[in-house]
Amino acid sequence: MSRRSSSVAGLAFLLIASAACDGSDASGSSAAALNDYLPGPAAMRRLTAGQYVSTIRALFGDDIDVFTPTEVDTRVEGLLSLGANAATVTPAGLERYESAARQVAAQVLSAERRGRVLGCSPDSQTASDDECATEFVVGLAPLVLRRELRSGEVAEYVSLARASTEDLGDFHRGLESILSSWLLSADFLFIQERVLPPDPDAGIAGRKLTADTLASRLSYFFWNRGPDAALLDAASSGELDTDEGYQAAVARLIEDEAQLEMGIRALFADLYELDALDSAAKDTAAFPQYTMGVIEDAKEQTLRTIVDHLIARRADYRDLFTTPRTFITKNLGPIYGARVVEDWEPYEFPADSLRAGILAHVSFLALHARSARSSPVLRGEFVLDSLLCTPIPPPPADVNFEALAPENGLGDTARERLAVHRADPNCAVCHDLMDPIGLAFENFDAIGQFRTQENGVTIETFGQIDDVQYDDITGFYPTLRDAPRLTSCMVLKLFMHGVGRVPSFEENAVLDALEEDFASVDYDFIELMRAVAMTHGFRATSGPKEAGAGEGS
Amino acid sequence: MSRTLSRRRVLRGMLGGTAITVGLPYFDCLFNSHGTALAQTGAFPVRFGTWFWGCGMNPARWVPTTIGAGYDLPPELALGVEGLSDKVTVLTGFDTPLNGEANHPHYAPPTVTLSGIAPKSPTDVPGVTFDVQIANTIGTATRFRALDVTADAQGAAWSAQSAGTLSPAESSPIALYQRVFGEGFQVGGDGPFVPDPAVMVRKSVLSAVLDQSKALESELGSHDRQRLDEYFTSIRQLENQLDVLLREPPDLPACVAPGTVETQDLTQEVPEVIATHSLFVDLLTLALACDQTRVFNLNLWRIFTDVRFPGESTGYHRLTHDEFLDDELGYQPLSQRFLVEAMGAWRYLLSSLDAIQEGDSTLLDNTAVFAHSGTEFPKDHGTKNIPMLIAGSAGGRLNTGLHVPGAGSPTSRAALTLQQAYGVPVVTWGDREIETSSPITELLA
Repeated sequence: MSRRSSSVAGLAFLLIASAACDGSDASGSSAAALNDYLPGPAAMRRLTAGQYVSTIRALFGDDIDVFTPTEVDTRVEGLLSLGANAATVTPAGLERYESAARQVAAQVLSAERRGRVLGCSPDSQTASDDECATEFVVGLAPLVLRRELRSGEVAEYVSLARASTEDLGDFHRGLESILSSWLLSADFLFIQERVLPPDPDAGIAGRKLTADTLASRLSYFFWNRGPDAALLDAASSGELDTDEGYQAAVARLIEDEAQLEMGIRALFADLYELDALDSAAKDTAAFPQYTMGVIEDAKEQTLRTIVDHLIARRADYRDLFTTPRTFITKNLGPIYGARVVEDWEPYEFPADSLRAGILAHVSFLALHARSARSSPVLRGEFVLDSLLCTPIPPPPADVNFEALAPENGLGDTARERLAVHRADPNCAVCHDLMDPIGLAFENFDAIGQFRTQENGVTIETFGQIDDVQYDDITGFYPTLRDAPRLTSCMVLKLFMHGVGRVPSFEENAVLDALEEDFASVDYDFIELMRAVAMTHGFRATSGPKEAGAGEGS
Repeated sequence: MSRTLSRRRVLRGMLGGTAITVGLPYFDCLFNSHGTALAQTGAFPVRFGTWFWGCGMNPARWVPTTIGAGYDLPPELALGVEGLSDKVTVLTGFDTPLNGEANHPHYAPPTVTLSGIAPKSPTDVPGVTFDVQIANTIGTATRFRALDVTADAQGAAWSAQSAGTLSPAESSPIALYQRVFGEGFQVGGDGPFVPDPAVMVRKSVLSAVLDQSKALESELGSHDRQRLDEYFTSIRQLENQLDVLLREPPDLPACVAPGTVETQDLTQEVPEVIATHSLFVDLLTLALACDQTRVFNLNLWRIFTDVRFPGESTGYHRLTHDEFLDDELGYQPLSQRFLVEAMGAWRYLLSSLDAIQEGDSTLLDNTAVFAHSGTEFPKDHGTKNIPMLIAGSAGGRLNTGLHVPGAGSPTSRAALTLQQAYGVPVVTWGDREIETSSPITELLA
């Protein structure tokens, strides 16, 4: 109810605002025009394992081996990027970060690579050289720390390099020690969120984020890495503080499609929990063909399809769930019943097949299944929770699953076995939502292979979402595509991913406006990203988060 | 395995990269005559460990009928305790109240047992776990404040540094071996000690990191300042670790470097999970004997474990739900096989610790290992009567060999008791219904 009324209010405001600012270009989107709401609080975010690697490779080169530190990233609201705003660094984690920092520093300053980050040579390989060390610090430290250096900081690093060089008798190992110190600093391991003092003259609700914070937010949002030199320059020159400068920075981030792809990949790998596929073991006796090669290719298939659809084709986001276009490999061919000549060749699911869209991919079907059999409940739950933002409460603790085991003779097909959910009103409350969605996927087994029968009985796959009914999975795909919650949920997830927190109560209005923006650009996802980056909630905050404060406050 | 294998030879073997699988027979050659002398100085540290197994037990076959010392051994309990019962205390009838939160099956009880707070979701990490509290008290002088490992090839474990931050756990024995016995491992009594300048440089790097990151404090809100404090604590722990490397290592009698660990398949099949667990036990035992750490957390298998017997398609957790209870037997026969394996693994841990002589006592005597599970009878997802065991006396700080019924009091009492035994300054532990200020006094020596 409150969402509905705030949507109307948002629209009314939008009409006034867009009249005032003559809608010059995409930056004049309706969500961007709102700035009278108080955004959520700012909290630093620990780099996820994926961000740690991508940040280091962006700084020093893709050939750097990164021994991935294994702090445990946890999902909040379905996103690792949200779990990161509560995570800290454990003793065991720091030990790994330190080891990784030394390994990275040694590679970066190795004889064959040091030219990438060091323009000078010391007078002697074995003695300190403050001038050359200073050049190294000034050039590299701001990029690693993602901020301008404080006064006196350069001298501290140069003196550490000097001392280390003396202890170890090697100039470059001296530089390794200061690079290690940056890679271990809280400025590197956490994406910092710094807040400017309140400014009554700014004419906005809340407080602005510092320019270096904006640079990091933008860079991780679009490119899944730290800011490059141009973006840091835009921050330190004050360009990011102006609307024009900020818009130009966003435009530049979007134009570089190779980098933008990294941002899209990170977001969707997170949203679709592709990391979990590595540990979703399958019954090797039943599915000997489900190898590590299949798992790797299944993840890549989905990400390639998404990147091609959203970036190369700039196609309607909703069509991700109906498009027959994808890419496959020799590993994946047998599972899809397709002959593959070359890895990653474009492939279209045949028009008469039951597959379309990314939910017909092995990545989704195998992840949301048990080790030896499919799981309509897990598949239905993911669609509801992660794609439609309709979370399902946990099952009652004393639930009895005996009826659900095929070997117990209570039904040959999942549909027959799950009938017990309907019979028990305590189960039906949630399972009436989940099961009809999941049962439509029953033509796909635990690893996503097509089948028509379970235990010798023909599988029926009719189902429904909300009040829309369909006869089989080919009716599900367009129904999901057209579900209004599909796009509102994506807007919510993308916004949370961008700002690293759940929306404040007042931010509901901007979410509604973003949804309208999304529709007005024919569901061009990249334009939605631009619109999110332009929002007041992305660029400002209520202030630093206080301990014990709730998620949205 | 040769009985004449000398410590020096083992070390050379390690340095030369010779592959020697660590195994129980090894311990035959660890015993030597120095132990008593060290014990007389009272130099043996106290250690602490936790051990978790998923999917609980069958109460009718677990809970002893007699109370106190000399308790009887129902069949499932006997699997894990028989022959060691004078060193193992059995806690029954302790519950995990949930403060009105939903019961997230299997997940809520251990979270309550370890942190004293009911989780709000099946992924919520609500607060620090008590093993971390103990590690922060007894673990600061060793290279590793704690070692966390999990044997079922899944990276997650239970120990939480703070709300929202789980400690990472090793799932590969090779990784654990390299971490503990690779770079930085030193054994005493092997000639003149020369501190490594590279370690000194690493220390000054950490010191620079602390100085540099301190400037951040003033820019952050209280939420982030707390997190930064924990980050600082982690840096100081690593500084301690490096300090240890800069000191001449003590000559510990039972300490010997293991040979290289051979590749181990990390799968969900029971024989391999058990073999991995055994390797972890061997490595942890040596890590404790060599005083590389004083705290460990060892996870046999997770709450929703998918461990399977070879050739079978249904994993343990699923089986406990799907399998009918055999009324004549009084248990689920297929599921029962997993508990047999779990209790065998527990016995292997205790026997390994007990096989290391430390003066007149054993490594197990100088340790307390707290074992617990995620539920009582797994099919019911109960939050009452959570099975808990405590093995070893923590160097005489705990009474052992008792059966103590909890009469429905919270499992947080075990957490409070153990923290107090190890000198953690807490008088109450747990949130609301879980809160307690009553340690299990029978246990405190």
